[in-house]
Amino acid sequence: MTADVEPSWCAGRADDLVWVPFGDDVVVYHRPSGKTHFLNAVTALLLKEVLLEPKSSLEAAEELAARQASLAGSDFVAAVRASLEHLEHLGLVERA
Amino acid sequence: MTAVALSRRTIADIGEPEFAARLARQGLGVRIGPFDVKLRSGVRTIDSALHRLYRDYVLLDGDDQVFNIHLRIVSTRHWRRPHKRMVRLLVDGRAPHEDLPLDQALAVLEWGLNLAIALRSHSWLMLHSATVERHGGVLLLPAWPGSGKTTLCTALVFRGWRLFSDEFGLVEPLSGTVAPIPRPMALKNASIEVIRGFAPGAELGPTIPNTRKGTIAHVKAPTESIQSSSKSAAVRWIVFPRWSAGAEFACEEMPKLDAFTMLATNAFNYEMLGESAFIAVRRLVETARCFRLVYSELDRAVAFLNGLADSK
Repeated sequence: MTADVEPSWCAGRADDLVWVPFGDDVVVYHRPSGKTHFLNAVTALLLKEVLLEPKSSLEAAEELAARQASLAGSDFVAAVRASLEHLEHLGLVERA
Repeated sequence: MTAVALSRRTIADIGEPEFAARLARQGLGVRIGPFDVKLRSGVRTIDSALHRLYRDYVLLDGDDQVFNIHLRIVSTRHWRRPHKRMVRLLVDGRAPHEDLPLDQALAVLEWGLNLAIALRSHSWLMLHSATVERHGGVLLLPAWPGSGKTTLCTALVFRGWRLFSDEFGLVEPLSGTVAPIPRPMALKNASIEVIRGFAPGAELGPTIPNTRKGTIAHVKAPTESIQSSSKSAAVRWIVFPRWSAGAEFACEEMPKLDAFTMLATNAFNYEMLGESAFIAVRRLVETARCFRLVYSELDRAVAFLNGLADSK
């Protein structure tokens, strides 16, 4: 029996995305899928800066929280993990 | 060297008898905005109305003419009730939908042209939008069916705006300009009398009851709009209109993100065009002022939009 290994995540290729900021929110075009996504500021930060290097969901949550001068509580970490899985489904992040 | 004047005969120049004969036999070539269309009709009852609605369009009668769209309607009989006369639409020789009652032939032809344009126009970002122009700036009125966009569009056209289309906004993805395709405007139900009262000079075709969209009457596109249909223009205003009975007038400038979302979901071919559509929508919402409009009184909405266009 093996323990579950927390995966590391990183953003997809920068060239795959076309960004258009509208205030705090962002519209992003994903070239490989041809889909347009509407992102809030936190998700945009995750993709554009936090996940430039591979990180676990805990590490990503902690960095996001630090950038917003807050603490990464368990709910926040779980929300980030769920977001990462959804973003993976959309092709916007990859497992490192 | 002398300049060669190109023949620009219009439908009016051939008169109704020849018009009807061409429709019935070899077909009739007509330029409608950026499209060269070959029309054939085996339904004689609409010849007169068609001639009136299309009399200002350029006639294409060269032997070597290539057409973008071949549209034909033929008279048939109901398969279970042979006494019932029906009309069949053929786009490039294929029937895209079931036959409809013969007395709806004019509406079937107009819907067929809409369908053919929607299927063919993928060199443009194709918005489901009424489109008019004033002082060189285009106003897009993107809306879902039932929002009153054709009524508002028709009213604007009779208050100084140039008609581009009551149905399509054809946006050239690279330049962001819009191509005019002025055609008869299809009023529905109560809007027919509203426009008769609002614009007594409007020239309407026959009233067609009991269609799948209710009662329909087509308003002839203004001559000047047809004659200047080669002149594209850039978008200055995007207004998402919604007519609601008894509603207080309300118009507010909207966040660009909301406008982007609504425009992208309004386009017929956004996903098909991919990144060029994304860039086109971005350009539209970044360069144009974007509004939500709710109204019940046509005069009030027209006055507001005229004021918007006429302000510095």
